[in-house]
Amino acid sequence: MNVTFPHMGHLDIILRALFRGLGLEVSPPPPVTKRTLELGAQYAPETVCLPFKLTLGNFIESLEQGAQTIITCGGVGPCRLGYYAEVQKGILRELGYHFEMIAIEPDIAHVFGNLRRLAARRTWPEIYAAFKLAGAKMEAIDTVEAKVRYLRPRVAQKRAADRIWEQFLREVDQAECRQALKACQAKAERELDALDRRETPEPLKIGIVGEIYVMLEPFVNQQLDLRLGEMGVEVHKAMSLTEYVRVHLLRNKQYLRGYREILKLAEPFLAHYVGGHGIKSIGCTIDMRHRGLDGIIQVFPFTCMPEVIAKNILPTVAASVNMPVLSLAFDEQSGEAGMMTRVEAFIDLLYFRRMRQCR
Amino acid sequence: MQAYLGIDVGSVSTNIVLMNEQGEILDTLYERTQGQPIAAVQQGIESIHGRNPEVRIAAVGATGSGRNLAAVVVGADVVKNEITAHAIAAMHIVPEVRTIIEIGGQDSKLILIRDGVVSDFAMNTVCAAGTGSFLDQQAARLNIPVQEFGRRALESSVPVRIAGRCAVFAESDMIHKQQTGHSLPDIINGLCHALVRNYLNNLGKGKKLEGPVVFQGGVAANHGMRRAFEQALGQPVIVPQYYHVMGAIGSALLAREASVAGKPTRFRGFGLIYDSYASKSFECAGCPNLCEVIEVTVNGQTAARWGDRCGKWTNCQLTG
Repeated sequence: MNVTFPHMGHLDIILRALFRGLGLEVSPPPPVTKRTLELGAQYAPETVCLPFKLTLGNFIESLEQGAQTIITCGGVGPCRLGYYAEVQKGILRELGYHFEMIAIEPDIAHVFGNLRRLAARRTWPEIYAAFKLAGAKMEAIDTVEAKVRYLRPRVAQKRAADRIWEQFLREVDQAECRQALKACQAKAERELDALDRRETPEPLKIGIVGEIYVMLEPFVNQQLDLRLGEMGVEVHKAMSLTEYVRVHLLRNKQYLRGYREILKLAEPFLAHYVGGHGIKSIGCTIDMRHRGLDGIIQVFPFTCMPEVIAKNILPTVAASVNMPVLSLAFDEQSGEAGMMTRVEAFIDLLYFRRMRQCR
Repeated sequence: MQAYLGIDVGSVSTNIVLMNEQGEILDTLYERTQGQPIAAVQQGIESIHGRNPEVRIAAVGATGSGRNLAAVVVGADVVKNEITAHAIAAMHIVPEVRTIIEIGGQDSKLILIRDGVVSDFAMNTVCAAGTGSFLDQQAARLNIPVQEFGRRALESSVPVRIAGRCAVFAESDMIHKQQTGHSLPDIINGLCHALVRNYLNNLGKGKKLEGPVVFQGGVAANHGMRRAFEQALGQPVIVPQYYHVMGAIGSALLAREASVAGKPTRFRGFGLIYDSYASKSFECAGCPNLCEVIEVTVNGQTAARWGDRCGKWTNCQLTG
């Protein structure tokens, strides 16, 4: 069985490790490019949110390359993600593609049920090891990425940290076992620590909240992390893959506790679930204020219902906790210039605020 | 005499101001960009130099949507976004300002100032219904020079209700109102109210618009728009003397601030009007992103490149 899946940030590295470990042949979609978006936008309903279009483009490009099985996610709650798989299946069938689609629901029992079917010839210990390796890769990527985000505004040479980061990603992808993974993580961390720093005042700290796909996929958010880093900003994100898997899939106790605290912070402004990460965008804005960050950028796909709800509540939150918030919606029409103008002006605003606080 | 140059290259107009050490405006220039930003900047600099031959430029600031291009052409010391530039200019001219309404050719901004710093801002996103281009177009359709548009609105005391949500539908609504026999001044007045409504709904949502309110940008010339804002906000709206070149004033102020450090200016000198500039774009075939890379050459030598996602062209060695 030749499987493929949608892209989202560095998810491909993790899923490749997992599916290989399960004994499957993997052909991930080609990297997301303008063509992916054009294909997706051409066949998707016009007003659907951006992740739908891009993942549809991913599937078309994968099927063109001979993939036979699409593994994608289901979803719960009042977010359109729950419909993605079914609608995309219909569209692809109408286009004449032959394939099987497996939509994994965010429910551990459902995951295991599908596993038995996908990895029919593997033993449970082998399946366990595949999960362990994929999970370790995910954690290594998130850990090193946090370090890169910390270093970008601080290193002397532009893109020096990013060169190490890109090399690290290639090595993680190739690592066959957890020992090899540990070694390449240690190497990357050592190299990052050895980089020359520049003399700078404490960088601004900006938190990114919002919808997870836009937050994690650099093609969509127009490399917001990198750009902010190069403008001298330390970036913090409300979500990572590790955190998402721990909270929503594995229901890890420690992570769930953190999640509940975020919900509690959001409660005075939004006291119930609105789908997606809407409530989290509000809770994390307050949490990041408590943690001493300077400002918040909310990112989401144009027409994303949960985040639009959050967007309309955020001005009240911003005023009540005294935290500047910039909301950015992304779709296939998003121009780079418009986004950069707003981001640059927002950074100026945060510097002015800091200067006033110092005075 | 030593002076600072501020350049604002916008979608519709290219504005230049000359400012002295004390922050006083020596000269201003407002001209249509007409889709040729490089030529507009060169002509503008030529006029400024012709009118002020004795001036020596200490520093240059560039802003507006064409700021990167302008910075290469002129040699700018500061390149800043137009939101910050407009805020700085308004605070310079009306120090106690708390709300800035700026409506330009293709975008509109709302900037809130508290305690002398920008505390919040909003910029129109996907819609240009409330901007200068729309007024321009409607004026042309009604066969009235855009400069007279606002004056005609003042002849009316009863605004006709016009749907201002979308430029296309506003136009069909206006045609309908004309056909049912409403007078032209009432329709123009209605249009001003519709644009103000649209602006406040789009940008002003959830924000406190406190006075003093400053209204700037090309559209501030429109007396009808000013009156409509005053009626909607229930307070006087200040239109500064240099409302149409505020972005350029802001970037001149930023240039003055940057030059305090004693760095020599990067200004290429007034001789730049004789240089030959060319910009071309090409599609990079390095990956399926097919980025449109822009390359600016000065006298045949590459001076700058941008537009690529990966940085391959932006970062490569420049000959100029």
